[in-house]
Amino acid sequence: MGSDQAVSTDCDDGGSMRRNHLFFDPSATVADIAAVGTLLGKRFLPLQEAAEGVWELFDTPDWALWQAGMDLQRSTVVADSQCQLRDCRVGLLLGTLPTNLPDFVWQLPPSPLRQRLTPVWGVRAMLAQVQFGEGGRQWALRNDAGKLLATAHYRYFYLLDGKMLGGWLQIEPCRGYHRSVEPVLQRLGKHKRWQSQQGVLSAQLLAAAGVTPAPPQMVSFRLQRRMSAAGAVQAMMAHQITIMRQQQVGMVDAIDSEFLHRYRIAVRRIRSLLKLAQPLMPPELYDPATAFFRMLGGLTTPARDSDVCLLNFVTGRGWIPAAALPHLTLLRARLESERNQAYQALRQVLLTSDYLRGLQRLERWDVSDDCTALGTQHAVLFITNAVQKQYRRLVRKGKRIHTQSPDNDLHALRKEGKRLRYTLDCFAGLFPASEVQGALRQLKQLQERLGDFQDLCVQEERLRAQQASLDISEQEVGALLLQVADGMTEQRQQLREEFSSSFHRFLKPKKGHTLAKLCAGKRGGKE
Amino acid sequence: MKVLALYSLKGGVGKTTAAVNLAYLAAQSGARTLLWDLDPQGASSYYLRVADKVKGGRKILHQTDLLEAAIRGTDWPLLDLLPADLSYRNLEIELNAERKRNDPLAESIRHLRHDYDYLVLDCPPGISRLSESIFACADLVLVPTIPTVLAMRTLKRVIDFRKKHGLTKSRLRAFFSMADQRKRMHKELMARIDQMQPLMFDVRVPQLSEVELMGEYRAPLHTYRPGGRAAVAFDALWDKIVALFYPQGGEE
Repeated sequence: MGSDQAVSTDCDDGGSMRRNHLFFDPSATVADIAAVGTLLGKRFLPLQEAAEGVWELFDTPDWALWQAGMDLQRSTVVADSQCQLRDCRVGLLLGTLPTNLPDFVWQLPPSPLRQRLTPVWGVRAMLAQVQFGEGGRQWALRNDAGKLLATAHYRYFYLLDGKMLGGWLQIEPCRGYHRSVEPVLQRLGKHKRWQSQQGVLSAQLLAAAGVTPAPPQMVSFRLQRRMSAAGAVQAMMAHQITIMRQQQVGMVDAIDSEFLHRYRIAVRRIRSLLKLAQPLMPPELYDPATAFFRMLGGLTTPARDSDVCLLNFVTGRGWIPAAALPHLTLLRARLESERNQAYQALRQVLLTSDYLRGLQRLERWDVSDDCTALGTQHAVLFITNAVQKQYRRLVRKGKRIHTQSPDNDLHALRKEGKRLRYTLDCFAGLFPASEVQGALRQLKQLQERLGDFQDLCVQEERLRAQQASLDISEQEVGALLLQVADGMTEQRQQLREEFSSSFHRFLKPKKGHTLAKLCAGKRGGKE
Repeated sequence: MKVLALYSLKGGVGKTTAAVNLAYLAAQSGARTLLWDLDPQGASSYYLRVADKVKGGRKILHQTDLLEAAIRGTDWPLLDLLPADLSYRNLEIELNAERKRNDPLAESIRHLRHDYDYLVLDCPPGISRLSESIFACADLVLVPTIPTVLAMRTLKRVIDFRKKHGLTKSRLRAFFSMADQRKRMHKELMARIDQMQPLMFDVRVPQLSEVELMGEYRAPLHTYRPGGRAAVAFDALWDKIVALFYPQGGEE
């Protein structure tokens, strides 16, 4: 656009259009920057000089942000110190946030942006899903009062091996000033090198990289009441293995504790499913699979325990008095070192061929070949029977707990509750949704109480072990650790004493007797 | 969307300065922010280099398409402005014509609530039907107060007015504006801040030439004097407002 072309001075736009214009040049070169500047005309003045950098798109492993209609990108050319959160359908800027990835959400101060991000499931575990080299330059169009009317941003992107992907020119008018850029848009529309593009830059870059922003391929199956029991259990185990695979990247790169947490849940669910599947599986498959997943459970425990202790340190939650937190730096350093060692051990196993074989063995279980007579039973009958047994065991064990019960009894009860919960979680599709949800809610309340008790046990044990390993010179810290540990003993005893009444509430909740009703098994019997 | 109104019965107390700087800080915190210049003087619009003219004038209160079309982007990401218009001087007529239940200002704000995280209202001085509307639809009414006897008296009148008309839905807070530590009266009144809790935020925006330079630079303070005393005071004020809107741990 030349100087002869009029640029309106203000309020030139009647509509409320908030659209960015995108043009693509497939044959772009680094030298094109000067040509783009000439094309824009004299009214567009440099806002930012030519620069080279990196462009990254962050999301969770299952693209939770993208699925929620947002993308989080960082460009060291545009703004090194912050990420931009944009609407991934129209490209509008929704917010900016500091680049303290991967756990940025928890470092954001209370704000509307934090509120918007927190409900997005798994948002704290961020990965750089796509990474490109980037270069470019930015121009600004201003009116006589110096007001910014629009920016023009030319950016070329290349793969990190050097292959050029093309150049994109984004014209971003300020809201209410769309008409100011019309002459430039017309000129670009007629230009043979530039192709007007629909959609947003991030989507085009993902397409150029061949990345599909969708959750990884899940095992596709639909639970049906009349499908075979072995088929249902096998499909569910394959589904859980897929979940494990999704979390591995985050664990290997130690991005966030959330990955390990989800991985462990999947492992536990498989162990619970294996127990269910014992009468359905041939022993030559069942025995090594049980040993393999038991090994994985044990291997992940130290890392998870360290994560839980450290999370309690970070947030000040749990049973560590706030006043004691600053004095516990020594313990924190040790916990971090222990965690690093535990993760290192885990990484070594995850990268072995034995590990891959262990997963594949279970995935390739061919139910049609190996199935026992019980395995051909309808899934709903088999699972209902299993749920009934698990519930009866839980009630029996729960009633035996008293104020002097050893810790292990409570832990055993918790594991029993988990088995029931996992079975209900996995096979919820076989039962009416409202009944399963109510039952799970009821069970969750009991599990949370038992979980608190177990967390106290683990943390107390750790603190006492730390205290025992301290030097004489660290007596002050040792005394503090003992004080905290004694506080935990008291809390634990209190929970134990309150347990009978809470278990009674669990057995006879105010809102109907959902879990008992679900486990009555009349439905299954009719099948 | 949280609505923050900068309001005072008295003119020249620093409402516009506070509105522009607080809106800028809101946008800088990563939130989508709209500053609505309700004052026909159009000082906020001037500071942000936008012409103080709105197509349709005060009709924007009744026509959502006009309201949306009137919004202008500023030079700063996430900060938009609804400019002033001379026809706003007759806003009272518009509001008086409607029943309280159909408050057009509240309706307009409701229409904008999904587009923005914060709406900052730069209100004209005075006490009128518009003030009632503002008290009815703002989450927080913030009164800049010069530490003088007359200004304190004005603040008291605002409090009484709010109570008398039952407009206690929104929260009311004040802060010391244009404070001059060299003046005895300013010092003495500010020393009594403990007696004014929780009404008064413990923030003193100083009277400095760097604040007046906003008119020359036509930009928020932080863009040309980021570490200055006034900018730091606005930072502190913004922190207090956020803490009031989002008490720690309360939003999760």
